[in-house]
Amino acid sequence: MSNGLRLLIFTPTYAGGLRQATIDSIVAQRTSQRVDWEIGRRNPYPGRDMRNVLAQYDHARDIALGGPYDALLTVEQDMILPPHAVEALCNTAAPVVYGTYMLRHGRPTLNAWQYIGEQGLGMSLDRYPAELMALQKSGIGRVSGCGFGCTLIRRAALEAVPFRSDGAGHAPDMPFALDCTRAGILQMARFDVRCGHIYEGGILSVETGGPTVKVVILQAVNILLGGGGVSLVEGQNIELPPRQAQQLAALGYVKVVEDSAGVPKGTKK
Amino acid sequence: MAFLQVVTRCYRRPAMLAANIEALEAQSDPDWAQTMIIDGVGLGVGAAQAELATFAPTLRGQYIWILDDDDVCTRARLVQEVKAIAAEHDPDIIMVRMDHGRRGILPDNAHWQRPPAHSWIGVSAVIVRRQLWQRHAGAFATARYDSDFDFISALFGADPEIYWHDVIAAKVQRISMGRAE
Repeated sequence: MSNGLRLLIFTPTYAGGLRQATIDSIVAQRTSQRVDWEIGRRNPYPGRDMRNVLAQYDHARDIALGGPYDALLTVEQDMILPPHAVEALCNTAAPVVYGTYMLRHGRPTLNAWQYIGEQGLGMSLDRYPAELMALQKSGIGRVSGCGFGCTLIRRAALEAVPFRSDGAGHAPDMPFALDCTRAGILQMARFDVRCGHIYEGGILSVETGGPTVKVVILQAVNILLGGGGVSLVEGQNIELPPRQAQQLAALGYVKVVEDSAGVPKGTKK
Repeated sequence: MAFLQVVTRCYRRPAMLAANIEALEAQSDPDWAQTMIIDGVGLGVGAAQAELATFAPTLRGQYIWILDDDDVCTRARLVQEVKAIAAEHDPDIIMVRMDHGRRGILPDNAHWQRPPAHSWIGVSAVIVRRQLWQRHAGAFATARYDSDFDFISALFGADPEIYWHDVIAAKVQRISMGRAE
Protein backbone atom coordinates (compact mmCIF):
# COMPACT_ATOMS: atom_id res chain seq x y z
CA MET A 1 0.00 0.00 0.00
CA SER A 2 2.90 2.39 0.51
CA ASN A 3 4.21 2.37 -3.06
CA GLY A 4 1.43 4.49 -4.54
CA LEU A 5 -0.03 7.83 -3.64
CA ARG A 6 -1.18 8.72 -0.21
CA LEU A 7 -4.58 10.13 -0.94
CA LEU A 8 -7.11 12.11 1.04
CA ILE A 9 -10.68 11.82 -0.17
CA PHE A 10 -12.80 14.68 1.09
CA THR A 11 -16.59 14.73 0.89
CA PRO A 12 -18.23 17.96 1.96
CA THR A 13 -21.71 17.33 3.33
CA TYR A 14 -24.69 19.48 4.11
CA ALA A 15 -27.78 18.59 6.15
CA GLY A 16 -26.94 14.90 6.36
CA GLY A 17 -26.92 14.68 2.57
CA LEU A 18 -24.29 11.95 2.22
CA ARG A 19 -25.90 9.25 0.09
CA GLN A 20 -25.67 5.53 0.72
CA ALA A 21 -24.72 4.97 -2.92
CA THR A 22 -21.80 7.37 -2.46
CA ILE A 23 -20.60 5.48 0.61
CA ASP A 24 -20.99 2.21 -1.29
CA SER A 25 -18.95 3.43 -4.23
CA ILE A 26 -16.10 4.80 -2.14
CA VAL A 27 -15.83 1.68 -0.03
CA ALA A 28 -15.95 -0.41 -3.21
CA GLN A 29 -12.86 1.22 -4.73
CA ARG A 30 -10.36 -1.33 -5.94
CA THR A 31 -7.09 0.40 -5.35
CA SER A 32 -3.64 -0.15 -4.02
CA GLN A 33 -3.29 3.52 -3.09
CA ARG A 34 -3.27 4.50 0.56
CA VAL A 35 -6.65 6.18 0.97
CA ASP A 36 -8.03 8.14 3.90
CA TRP A 37 -11.53 9.52 3.63
CA GLU A 38 -12.81 12.50 5.56
CA ILE A 39 -16.44 13.58 5.56
CA GLY A 40 -16.67 17.35 5.90
CA ARG A 41 -19.39 18.57 8.23
CA ARG A 42 -18.25 22.09 9.00
CA ASN A 43 -20.82 24.54 7.71
CA PRO A 44 -20.12 27.72 9.64
CA TYR A 45 -22.83 29.78 7.95
CA PRO A 46 -26.45 29.04 8.90
CA GLY A 47 -28.86 27.74 6.28
CA ARG A 48 -28.08 27.00 2.64
CA ASP A 49 -25.30 29.55 2.41
CA MET A 50 -22.93 28.86 -0.48
CA ARG A 51 -20.05 30.27 1.55
CA ASN A 52 -20.16 26.97 3.40
CA VAL A 53 -18.96 25.24 0.24
CA LEU A 54 -15.80 27.31 0.14
CA ALA A 55 -15.32 26.85 3.90
CA GLN A 56 -15.53 23.08 3.44
CA TYR A 57 -12.99 22.99 0.63
CA ASP A 58 -10.66 25.31 2.55
CA HIS A 59 -10.86 22.81 5.40
CA ALA A 60 -10.06 19.97 2.99
CA ARG A 61 -7.07 21.87 1.65
CA ASP A 62 -5.81 22.51 5.19
CA ILE A 63 -6.06 18.82 6.07
CA ALA A 64 -4.39 17.69 2.86
CA LEU A 65 -1.53 20.16 3.00
CA GLY A 66 -1.14 19.77 6.76
CA GLY A 67 -0.80 16.00 6.41
CA PRO A 68 1.43 13.65 4.46
CA TYR A 69 -0.92 13.49 1.50
CA ASP A 70 0.24 13.46 -2.11
CA ALA A 71 -3.15 14.43 -3.43
CA LEU A 72 -6.67 15.46 -2.53
CA LEU A 73 -9.63 13.76 -4.20
CA THR A 74 -12.85 15.68 -3.86
CA VAL A 75 -15.96 13.53 -4.00
CA GLU A 76 -19.31 15.24 -3.57
CA GLN A 77 -21.95 13.75 -1.30
CA ASP A 78 -24.14 12.63 -4.18
CA MET A 79 -21.62 11.05 -6.54
CA ILE A 80 -21.36 7.39 -7.52
CA LEU A 81 -17.82 6.46 -8.53
CA PRO A 82 -16.98 3.43 -10.64
CA PRO A 83 -14.78 0.95 -8.73
CA HIS A 84 -11.64 1.86 -10.71
CA ALA A 85 -12.00 5.62 -10.22
CA VAL A 86 -9.32 6.14 -7.56
CA GLU A 87 -6.80 3.95 -9.34
CA ALA A 88 -7.41 5.56 -12.74
CA LEU A 89 -7.21 9.12 -11.44
CA CYS A 90 -4.07 8.39 -9.43
CA ASN A 91 -2.42 6.77 -12.44
CA THR A 92 -2.96 9.82 -14.62
CA ALA A 93 0.11 12.02 -14.90
CA ALA A 94 -1.41 15.44 -14.42
CA PRO A 95 -1.68 17.83 -11.48
CA VAL A 96 -5.47 17.96 -11.78
CA VAL A 97 -7.56 15.03 -13.02
CA TYR A 98 -11.33 14.99 -13.36
CA GLY A 99 -13.65 12.03 -13.32
CA THR A 100 -16.54 12.72 -15.67
CA TYR A 101 -20.16 13.18 -14.69
CA MET A 102 -23.18 15.25 -15.52
CA LEU A 103 -23.54 18.61 -13.81
CA ARG A 104 -27.08 18.85 -12.57
CA HIS A 105 -27.78 22.57 -12.43
CA GLY A 106 -30.12 23.45 -15.26
CA ARG A 107 -29.89 21.14 -18.25
CA PRO A 108 -27.60 18.22 -17.44
CA THR A 109 -24.18 19.04 -18.85
CA LEU A 110 -20.92 17.12 -18.97
CA ASN A 111 -18.41 18.45 -16.44
CA ALA A 112 -15.46 18.14 -18.83
CA TRP A 113 -15.01 21.52 -20.42
CA GLN A 114 -13.10 22.09 -23.63
CA TYR A 115 -9.53 23.30 -23.38
CA ILE A 116 -9.18 26.47 -25.48
CA GLY A 117 -5.84 27.77 -24.28
CA GLU A 118 -4.76 29.71 -21.24
CA GLN A 119 -7.07 32.69 -21.69
CA GLY A 120 -10.11 31.13 -20.02
CA LEU A 121 -12.53 28.26 -19.65
CA GLY A 122 -14.11 26.56 -22.62
CA MET A 123 -17.64 25.20 -22.73
CA SER A 124 -18.79 21.71 -21.89
CA LEU A 125 -17.54 19.15 -24.38
CA ASP A 126 -21.02 17.79 -24.90
CA ARG A 127 -21.49 20.80 -27.18
CA TYR A 128 -18.80 19.30 -29.41
CA PRO A 129 -19.96 15.72 -30.07
CA ALA A 130 -17.17 14.79 -32.50
CA GLU A 131 -14.43 15.99 -30.16
CA LEU A 132 -16.14 14.36 -27.21
CA MET A 133 -16.48 11.07 -29.05
CA ALA A 134 -12.76 11.09 -29.87
CA LEU A 135 -11.87 11.84 -26.26
CA GLN A 136 -14.19 9.15 -24.98
CA LYS A 137 -12.56 6.72 -27.36
CA SER A 138 -9.08 7.57 -26.10
CA GLY A 139 -10.36 7.66 -22.51
CA ILE A 140 -8.38 10.72 -21.53
CA GLY A 141 -7.89 14.27 -22.68
CA ARG A 142 -6.98 17.79 -21.72
CA VAL A 143 -9.77 19.99 -20.40
CA SER A 144 -10.13 23.41 -18.80
CA GLY A 145 -12.19 22.02 -15.84
CA CYS A 146 -14.68 21.70 -14.25
CA GLY A 147 -16.45 20.65 -11.04
CA PHE A 148 -15.35 19.04 -7.79
CA GLY A 149 -17.66 16.02 -7.99
CA CYS A 150 -14.75 13.63 -8.49
CA THR A 151 -11.53 15.56 -8.92
CA LEU A 152 -7.98 14.65 -8.02
CA ILE A 153 -5.70 17.55 -7.17
CA ARG A 154 -2.06 16.74 -6.60
CA ARG A 155 -0.21 18.50 -3.82
CA ALA A 156 1.75 20.87 -6.08
CA ALA A 157 -1.45 22.18 -7.66
CA LEU A 158 -3.14 22.38 -4.29
CA GLU A 159 -0.26 24.44 -2.94
CA ALA A 160 -0.14 26.69 -5.99
CA VAL A 161 -3.85 27.41 -6.36
CA PRO A 162 -5.87 28.27 -3.26
CA PHE A 163 -9.61 27.79 -3.39
CA ARG A 164 -11.63 30.97 -3.78
CA SER A 165 -15.13 31.97 -4.74
CA ASP A 166 -15.86 34.02 -7.80
CA GLY A 167 -17.12 36.87 -5.66
CA ALA A 168 -20.75 35.94 -6.18
CA GLY A 169 -20.70 33.43 -3.32
CA HIS A 170 -20.50 30.50 -5.66
CA ALA A 171 -18.59 27.27 -5.25
CA PRO A 172 -14.81 27.34 -5.78
CA ASP A 173 -14.67 24.78 -8.59
CA MET A 174 -14.89 27.19 -11.53
CA PRO A 175 -12.45 29.73 -10.08
CA PHE A 176 -10.06 26.86 -9.37
CA ALA A 177 -10.32 25.60 -12.94
CA LEU A 178 -9.80 29.11 -14.26
CA ASP A 179 -6.79 29.76 -12.03
CA CYS A 180 -5.23 26.45 -13.08
CA THR A 181 -5.89 27.22 -16.74
CA ARG A 182 -4.32 30.65 -16.51
CA ALA A 183 -1.35 29.31 -14.56
CA GLY A 184 -0.73 26.69 -17.25
CA ILE A 185 -1.44 23.83 -14.84
CA LEU A 186 -2.38 20.75 -16.82
CA GLN A 187 -5.93 19.54 -16.20
CA MET A 188 -6.99 16.22 -17.67
CA ALA A 189 -10.31 14.40 -17.67
CA ARG A 190 -10.70 10.64 -17.51
CA PHE A 191 -13.55 9.87 -19.87
CA ASP A 192 -13.34 6.25 -18.78
CA VAL A 193 -14.12 7.24 -15.20
CA ARG A 194 -17.83 7.84 -15.60
CA CYS A 195 -19.55 8.76 -12.39
CA GLY A 196 -23.24 8.81 -11.60
CA HIS A 197 -24.65 11.97 -10.08
CA ILE A 198 -27.64 11.53 -7.79
CA TYR A 199 -30.26 14.21 -7.82
CA GLU A 200 -33.84 14.39 -6.55
CA GLY A 201 -35.31 12.71 -9.59
CA GLY A 202 -32.74 9.96 -10.03
CA ILE A 203 -29.21 9.36 -11.21
CA LEU A 204 -27.62 11.38 -13.97
CA SER A 205 -25.25 9.24 -15.95
CA VAL A 206 -22.67 10.17 -18.55
CA GLU A 207 -23.78 7.34 -20.81
CA THR A 208 -27.36 8.48 -21.12
CA GLY A 209 -26.97 12.15 -20.29
CA GLY A 210 -29.95 12.00 -17.98
CA PRO A 211 -31.65 10.07 -15.19
CA THR A 212 -31.76 6.28 -15.36
CA VAL A 213 -33.77 3.46 -13.86
CA LYS A 214 -32.47 0.05 -12.89
CA VAL A 215 -33.92 -2.87 -14.79
CA VAL A 216 -33.36 -6.58 -14.97
CA ILE A 217 -33.30 -8.11 -18.44
CA LEU A 218 -36.04 -10.73 -18.86
CA GLN A 219 -35.34 -11.63 -22.48
CA ALA A 220 -32.30 -11.12 -24.71
CA VAL A 221 -32.70 -8.17 -27.07
CA ASN A 222 -30.53 -5.74 -28.99
CA ILE A 223 -31.27 -2.05 -28.46
CA LEU A 224 -29.81 1.30 -29.47
CA LEU A 225 -28.23 3.04 -26.48
CA GLY A 226 -25.94 6.05 -26.38
CA GLY A 227 -25.55 6.03 -30.14
CA GLY A 228 -24.54 2.38 -30.40
CA GLY A 229 -26.06 -1.07 -30.44
CA VAL A 230 -26.14 -2.90 -27.13
CA SER A 231 -26.99 -6.56 -26.58
CA LEU A 232 -29.03 -7.07 -23.45
CA VAL A 233 -28.47 -10.47 -21.90
CA GLU A 234 -31.15 -12.25 -19.95
CA GLY A 235 -30.64 -11.96 -16.20
CA GLN A 236 -28.38 -8.89 -16.35
CA ASN A 237 -29.08 -5.80 -14.27
CA ILE A 238 -28.51 -2.51 -16.08
CA GLU A 239 -29.58 1.11 -16.00
CA LEU A 240 -31.60 2.65 -18.80
CA PRO A 241 -33.16 6.03 -19.50
CA PRO A 242 -36.72 6.02 -18.07
CA ARG A 243 -38.52 6.20 -21.42
CA GLN A 244 -36.53 3.35 -22.92
CA ALA A 245 -37.02 1.30 -19.77
CA GLN A 246 -40.77 1.85 -19.89
CA GLN A 247 -40.97 0.85 -23.56
CA LEU A 248 -38.94 -2.31 -23.04
CA ALA A 249 -40.89 -3.14 -19.87
CA ALA A 250 -44.17 -2.78 -21.75
CA LEU A 251 -42.87 -5.26 -24.31
CA GLY A 252 -41.78 -7.67 -21.61
CA TYR A 253 -38.05 -7.46 -22.33
CA VAL A 254 -37.12 -5.91 -18.97
CA LYS A 255 -38.54 -5.45 -15.53
CA VAL A 256 -38.00 -2.18 -13.65
CA VAL A 257 -36.45 -3.03 -10.28
CA GLU A 258 -35.59 0.42 -9.01
CA ASP A 259 -36.91 3.79 -10.08
CA SER A 260 -34.81 6.79 -11.06
CA ALA A 261 -34.56 7.94 -7.44
CA GLY A 262 -32.95 4.68 -6.42
CA VAL A 263 -36.14 3.46 -4.73
CA PRO A 264 -36.96 -0.24 -5.16
CA LYS A 265 -40.05 -0.81 -7.25
CA GLY A 266 -43.15 -1.11 -5.12
CA THR A 267 -41.84 0.78 -2.09
CA LYS A 268 -42.79 4.28 -0.96
CA LYS A 269 -40.23 7.07 -0.93
CA MET B 1 -9.78 20.65 14.77
CA ALA B 2 -12.60 18.71 16.33
CA PHE B 3 -12.41 17.63 19.96
CA LEU B 4 -12.91 13.94 19.18
CA GLN B 5 -11.46 12.38 16.04
CA VAL B 6 -13.06 9.05 15.23
CA VAL B 7 -10.86 6.75 13.17
CA THR B 8 -12.72 4.14 11.16
CA ARG B 9 -11.06 1.37 9.18
CA CYS B 10 -13.22 0.27 6.27
CA TYR B 11 -13.27 -2.75 4.04
CA ARG B 12 -16.25 -3.20 1.73
CA ARG B 13 -18.88 -3.15 4.44
CA PRO B 14 -20.90 -0.17 3.23
CA ALA B 15 -24.15 -0.93 5.06
CA MET B 16 -22.35 -1.24 8.39
CA LEU B 17 -20.30 1.86 7.60
CA ALA B 18 -23.51 3.78 6.91
CA ALA B 19 -24.88 2.70 10.29
CA ASN B 20 -21.60 3.72 11.90
CA ILE B 21 -21.78 7.19 10.30
CA GLU B 22 -25.46 7.63 11.08
CA ALA B 23 -24.95 6.89 14.76
CA LEU B 24 -22.20 9.47 14.97
CA GLU B 25 -24.35 12.02 13.15
CA ALA B 26 -26.81 11.63 16.04
CA GLN B 27 -24.31 12.96 18.59
CA SER B 28 -25.72 15.77 20.72
CA ASP B 29 -22.39 17.62 20.48
CA PRO B 30 -21.09 18.09 16.92
CA ASP B 31 -17.50 18.63 18.03
CA TRP B 32 -16.19 15.47 16.37
CA ALA B 33 -14.73 14.46 13.03
CA GLN B 34 -14.40 11.09 11.40
CA THR B 35 -11.62 9.86 9.18
CA MET B 36 -12.00 6.60 7.32
CA ILE B 37 -9.01 4.48 6.34
CA ILE B 38 -10.13 2.73 3.17
CA ASP B 39 -8.77 -0.71 2.41
CA GLY B 40 -9.11 -1.13 -1.33
CA VAL B 41 -7.41 -4.51 -1.64
CA GLY B 42 -8.37 -6.64 1.36
CA LEU B 43 -5.34 -6.34 3.59
CA GLY B 44 -6.62 -8.57 6.33
CA VAL B 45 -6.70 -7.89 10.04
CA GLY B 46 -2.98 -7.80 10.75
CA ALA B 47 -2.10 -5.35 7.99
CA ALA B 48 -5.12 -3.25 8.90
CA GLN B 49 -3.61 -2.92 12.38
CA ALA B 50 -0.33 -1.81 10.85
CA GLU B 51 -2.16 0.87 8.86
CA LEU B 52 -2.88 2.63 12.13
CA ALA B 53 0.83 3.08 12.79
CA THR B 54 1.35 4.90 9.50
CA PHE B 55 -1.86 6.85 9.99
CA ALA B 56 -0.79 8.23 13.37
CA PRO B 57 1.06 11.36 12.12
CA THR B 58 -2.11 12.61 10.41
CA LEU B 59 -4.18 12.64 13.59
CA ARG B 60 -5.50 16.06 14.55
CA GLY B 61 -8.22 15.60 17.17
CA GLN B 62 -7.71 16.40 20.83
CA TYR B 63 -8.80 12.85 21.64
CA ILE B 64 -8.80 9.80 19.37
CA TRP B 65 -11.34 6.99 19.27
CA ILE B 66 -11.06 3.98 16.96
CA LEU B 67 -14.48 2.85 15.82
CA ASP B 68 -14.20 0.49 12.86
CA ASP B 69 -16.89 0.18 10.21
CA ASP B 70 -18.30 -2.97 11.79
CA ASP B 71 -18.70 -1.16 15.12
CA VAL B 72 -21.27 1.46 15.97
CA CYS B 73 -21.52 4.16 18.62
CA THR B 74 -24.43 3.44 20.95
CA ARG B 75 -24.39 6.58 23.02
CA ALA B 76 -25.69 9.80 21.49
CA ARG B 77 -24.25 11.96 24.27
CA LEU B 78 -20.78 10.44 24.21
CA VAL B 79 -18.92 13.43 22.75
CA GLN B 80 -20.69 15.76 25.14
CA GLU B 81 -19.82 13.55 28.12
CA VAL B 82 -16.20 12.98 27.12
CA LYS B 83 -15.72 16.67 26.52
CA ALA B 84 -17.03 17.47 30.00
CA ILE B 85 -14.75 14.81 31.50
CA ALA B 86 -11.75 16.23 29.65
CA ALA B 87 -12.57 19.75 30.82
CA GLU B 88 -12.86 18.69 34.45
CA HIS B 89 -10.24 15.96 34.78
CA ASP B 90 -7.91 16.34 31.79
CA PRO B 91 -7.20 12.61 31.61
CA ASP B 92 -4.87 10.91 29.12
CA ILE B 93 -7.31 8.06 28.63
CA ILE B 94 -11.06 7.86 29.03
CA MET B 95 -12.14 4.25 29.39
CA VAL B 96 -15.62 3.22 28.30
CA ARG B 97 -17.20 -0.17 27.67
CA MET B 98 -18.13 -1.87 24.42
CA ASP B 99 -20.75 -4.48 23.66
CA HIS B 100 -18.88 -7.25 21.90
CA GLY B 101 -21.97 -9.36 21.34
CA ARG B 102 -20.65 -12.89 21.60
CA ARG B 103 -18.24 -12.10 24.43
CA GLY B 104 -20.55 -9.68 26.21
CA ILE B 105 -19.57 -6.32 27.64
CA LEU B 106 -15.84 -5.47 27.50
CA PRO B 107 -14.19 -4.82 29.82
CA ASP B 108 -16.48 -6.83 32.03
CA ASN B 109 -16.83 -6.07 35.72
CA ALA B 110 -13.93 -8.35 36.63
CA HIS B 111 -11.59 -6.32 34.40
CA TRP B 112 -13.03 -2.83 34.89
CA GLN B 113 -10.64 -0.39 36.56
CA ARG B 114 -7.86 -2.93 36.12
CA PRO B 115 -4.87 -3.16 33.78
CA PRO B 116 -5.86 -4.43 30.33
CA ALA B 117 -6.35 -8.18 30.01
CA HIS B 118 -5.98 -9.93 26.68
CA SER B 119 -9.37 -10.71 25.07
CA TRP B 120 -11.18 -8.61 27.63
CA ILE B 121 -10.72 -5.23 26.03
CA GLY B 122 -10.95 -3.66 22.58
CA VAL B 123 -9.84 -0.43 20.97
CA SER B 124 -13.33 1.04 20.95
CA ALA B 125 -13.25 0.96 24.75
CA VAL B 126 -10.31 3.38 24.83
CA ILE B 127 -10.48 7.10 24.07
CA VAL B 128 -6.98 8.50 24.09
CA ARG B 129 -5.33 11.90 24.11
CA ARG B 130 -3.78 12.38 20.68
CA GLN B 131 -0.19 12.87 21.83
CA LEU B 132 -0.26 9.68 23.88
CA TRP B 133 -1.88 7.81 20.98
CA GLN B 134 0.81 8.96 18.59
CA ARG B 135 3.61 8.15 21.01
CA HIS B 136 2.56 4.51 21.19
CA ALA B 137 1.22 4.00 17.66
CA GLY B 138 4.32 1.97 16.87
CA ALA B 139 2.73 -0.93 18.76
CA PHE B 140 0.45 -1.40 15.77
CA ALA B 141 3.36 -1.68 13.36
CA THR B 142 4.02 -5.33 14.14
CA ALA B 143 0.92 -6.14 12.07
CA ARG B 144 0.07 -8.84 14.56
CA TYR B 145 -3.59 -9.68 14.69
CA ASP B 146 -3.75 -8.65 18.31
CA SER B 147 -1.45 -5.65 18.09
CA ASP B 148 -4.41 -3.58 19.29
CA PHE B 149 -3.84 -5.23 22.65
CA ASP B 150 -0.12 -4.40 22.40
CA PHE B 151 -1.14 -0.80 21.80
CA ILE B 152 -3.51 -0.65 24.76
CA SER B 153 -0.90 -2.30 26.97
CA ALA B 154 1.67 0.26 25.86
CA LEU B 155 -0.73 3.06 26.72
CA PHE B 156 -1.33 1.68 30.20
CA GLY B 157 2.40 1.12 30.63
CA ALA B 158 3.00 4.83 30.24
CA ASP B 159 1.35 5.44 33.61
CA PRO B 160 -1.38 7.65 32.19
CA GLU B 161 -4.14 9.51 33.98
CA ILE B 162 -7.21 7.36 33.36
CA TYR B 163 -10.83 8.31 33.82
CA TRP B 164 -13.19 5.32 33.98
CA HIS B 165 -16.46 6.40 32.42
CA ASP B 166 -18.78 3.50 33.07
CA VAL B 167 -21.04 3.59 30.03
CA ILE B 168 -21.43 1.33 27.00
CA ALA B 169 -20.25 3.55 24.18
CA ALA B 170 -20.02 1.12 21.27
CA LYS B 171 -21.36 -2.11 19.94
CA VAL B 172 -19.97 -4.62 17.48
CA GLN B 173 -22.38 -4.86 14.54
CA ARG B 174 -20.78 -8.06 13.30
CA ILE B 175 -17.46 -9.71 13.99
CA SER B 176 -16.06 -9.36 10.50
CA MET B 177 -12.50 -10.67 10.92
CA GLY B 178 -11.46 -8.84 7.78
CA ARG B 179 -14.34 -10.06 5.65
CA ALA B 180 -16.48 -7.90 3.40
CA GLU B 181 -20.24 -7.72 3.84
